[in-house]
Amino acid sequence: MLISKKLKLMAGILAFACMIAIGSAQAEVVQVEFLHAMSGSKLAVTSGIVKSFNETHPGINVNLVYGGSYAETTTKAISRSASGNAPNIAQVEAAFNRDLIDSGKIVPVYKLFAPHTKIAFNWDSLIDPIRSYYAIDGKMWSIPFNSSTGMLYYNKNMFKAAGLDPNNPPRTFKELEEAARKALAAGVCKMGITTSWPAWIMLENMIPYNGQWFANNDNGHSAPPTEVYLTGDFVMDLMRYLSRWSKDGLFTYLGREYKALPAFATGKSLFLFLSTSTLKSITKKANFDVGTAFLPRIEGYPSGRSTIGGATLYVFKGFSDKENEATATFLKYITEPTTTIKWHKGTGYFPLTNGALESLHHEGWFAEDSNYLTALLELLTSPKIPQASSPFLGNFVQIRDILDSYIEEVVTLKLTPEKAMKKAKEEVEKVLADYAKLVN
Amino acid sequence: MKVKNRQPLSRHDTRGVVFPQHKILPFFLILGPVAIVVLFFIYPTLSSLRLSLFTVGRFGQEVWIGLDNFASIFLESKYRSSLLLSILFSSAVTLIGLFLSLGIATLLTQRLKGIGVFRVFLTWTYAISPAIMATIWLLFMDPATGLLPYVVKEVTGLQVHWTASSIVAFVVIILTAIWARLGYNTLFFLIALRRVSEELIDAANIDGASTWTTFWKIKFPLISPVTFFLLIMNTLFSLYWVFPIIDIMTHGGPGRSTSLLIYTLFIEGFRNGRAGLASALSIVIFSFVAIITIVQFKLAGKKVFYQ
Repeated sequence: MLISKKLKLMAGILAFACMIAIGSAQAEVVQVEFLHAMSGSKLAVTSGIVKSFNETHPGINVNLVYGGSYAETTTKAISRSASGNAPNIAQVEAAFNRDLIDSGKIVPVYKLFAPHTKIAFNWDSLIDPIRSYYAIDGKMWSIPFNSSTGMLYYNKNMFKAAGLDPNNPPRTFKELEEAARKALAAGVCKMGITTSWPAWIMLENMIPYNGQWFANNDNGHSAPPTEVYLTGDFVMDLMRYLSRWSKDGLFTYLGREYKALPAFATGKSLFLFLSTSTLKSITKKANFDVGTAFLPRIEGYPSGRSTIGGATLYVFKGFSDKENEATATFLKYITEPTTTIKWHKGTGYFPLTNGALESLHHEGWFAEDSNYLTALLELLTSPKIPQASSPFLGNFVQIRDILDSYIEEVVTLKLTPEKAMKKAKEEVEKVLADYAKLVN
Repeated sequence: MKVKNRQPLSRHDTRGVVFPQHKILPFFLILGPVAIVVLFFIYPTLSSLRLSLFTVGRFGQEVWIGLDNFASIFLESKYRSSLLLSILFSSAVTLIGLFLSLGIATLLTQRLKGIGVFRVFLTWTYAISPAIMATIWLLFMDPATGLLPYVVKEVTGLQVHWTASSIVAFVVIILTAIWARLGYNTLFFLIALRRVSEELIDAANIDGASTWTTFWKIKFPLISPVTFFLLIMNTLFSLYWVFPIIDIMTHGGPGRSTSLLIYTLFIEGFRNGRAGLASALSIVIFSFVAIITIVQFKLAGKKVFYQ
C-alpha cells in the first residue's frame, strides 16, 4: 500500500515536470526586459508602443519594468548589471552617459546594427541636434527615446488680464522680470516665476543656451573633466537674478523635478520653466490658454543651444545574439515614423526622425497647436556650438543633487549666490576627483 | 525562580525536551530561522562594519581608508549638520509626540457617550505606513493645490511656501512625523491608562486630590512602563522610520535642511553608490540609538514602576 502511494506521487511529479518542459519549449519567445522611468500619462503611451510591438512581433516579448525616477532607474540599472542581472534595455537620463559608458557594461547600439549585424538602420534619419548630442566620435552608443529641451510656459489669460501681449512672450531675463512684476502688481496671479528641475533648467540648459562651457576639457569629452565653471560671470549673473527674484517675491520655489507643475496647470503661477516633455498633459489639465516660448536669454551673452533632456536607451552586455537581435528590432521599431509620431503626439517629446517631422508638418499637426513646434524651433534655430555638447561627467547623479541643493540655498536666501556657487563648485570638483580615482 | 538541587538530566529524564526520540531533529528545525537571522542580520552587520573602513566604488572596487569615513561624518559640515538635525528632530518628535498623545489618551478615557468613535478615529492611523502618510501630507500641503496652505491663507493671509523655507520645511516634517505616530502612541497610552486601578483613583478623590494631582502623582507613575517603552520606540521611529517622510516630501531639501542621517545614508549608499560611507553612517546611527537606549534604561531604573 505504502509503496504504491509513493509511486503514484512520483508519477504525478514526473508528469507535471513534463508538462512544464513541453510548455516552455513551445513558448520560444525571446524576452526583452525594458527598465524604464516613465510614469503618469507618459507610461500609458509607452505601454501602448510596447503592446503594439509585441502584437506585431510574435517571437519577441518586451517586458516593461518600472524603475522609479531617472536617478533611481539609472542606479538600479548600474547595480543590477554589477551583480550580473542587467536588464536588456535601460532608460537612462542623458546626463548619466559617462557613468554608463565608463562602466564597460553596455553594448554600444551601433554594434547592434549593420555592418556589425544584418539589421539595417539609417542613422541619418535621426534629427541632427539630437543625434549630435548623443554621438560619441560620430557613433551612437544609445538610442534616444524621449528627447526634450527646456522651454518657458506662460499663462496667456493672465497676460491679457495684466495688459501684456499674449503673443509676445519675454525673450530675456529682464523682460521676464518686467512681465512678472506687472502681473503680480495687477494681482492676476498668485505666483510669478516658477521652475521645475532647478539644476537641469538653470544650469544644464541655460549654460550652453548662452554659449558657455559647463566643464573643462570640452565638457569632459576630450579628457576627464576636473573643473566646472560655476563661478564665472554668466552663472553668477543668473544666480543673482534668482536670488533677487526670490527676495522680491517674483520667484517662488516649489521643489525639485516636476513639483512646480500643478501650480502652473491649475492656473496659480504665471511662468513655468519646464520642457516640452509634459506639453500634452499640461494642455489637457489647463483650463486656460497655454503659451510656450523659447527659454529667455540673459542679455550680453552669446547665442547658444539648450541641452537635450529626457532619456536614452542603453543596451547591456551579457545577452545572447538572439536576444540582442530582438532588442535591436525593438529599438528600430521605436524610431519608425508611426511610432515616433504617436510618441510625440501623446507626450510632447520630440519626434525622433526627420521623416516623422516632415509627415507631422504635412498633416497639419503643428498648425493645430503651434505649442508643439516651439521647442523644435528653439532647437533647430540654435547655432551648433561646441559648448552645447552633453556634459560628460561621471557620478552625475551625485553632481545633479549637489547642484539642486545649492540652487535651493540661493532661492531660499540661505546663502548668497557667490557663496553657494563657490561651495557647489568645490563639492562637484571633489566628486569628479573621486570618480577619476575609482575609474583609473 | 531558580530550582535548587535539580538533578541533572539522565538519558531517561525527558523533562523540558520537546522531541525526546530525535537527537538531530531539533537542530535541523531551527536551522531555517537561524539561517535567516545570520543571512539578513548578522552577515550584513559584520559586512557593514568591514565596509565602513573602505571607500567602495559603484562596481565593488574597495580601497582601504581606515577611519576616514567616520572622520568625514564628524568633520564635514554636510554630515555634521545631518547629525545635529537628526538629534533635534528626534527630540522634538519624541517629546512633543508623547506629550500630545498622552493628552489625547487622557481625554479618551472619559466616560462620555460616543467616545468609542473618537477612540477609533484617533488611533487608527496606527495602521497607515509612513509612506502613505507622507503622500497624504504632501498633497495636503501642496502650495498651489493643498488644503492646508489655502486655509492658512484665508485665516491669516500668509502665503506659506514650505518648499522655499528651510525652517518651515523642517517644522513640516516634524509635524508629519508626530502625526504619523499619534495613533500608535495614543493607543498604548489609552490601554495603559485604562489599566490603572479604579480603586486607586477613587481613593485619591476621597482624599481630596485634584484631577491634576491625581494624574501626575498616581496615573503617570503607574503608566511609566508604557511611557518608557514609547520613548524608546519613538526614538527609533524618528531615526529610522521617518525616511519615507523625507524621501516623499522634501528629498532632504530645500538645500540640506531636512537631510536627516537616515536620508543621507540612503543618498550616499544607494544613489551615489558610496557603500563605505553609508556603512559608516549606519554604524553612527546605530551607536546613537544604542547610547540613547542605554541612557533611557539607566533613567528608567529610577523612574519606572512595574506592578
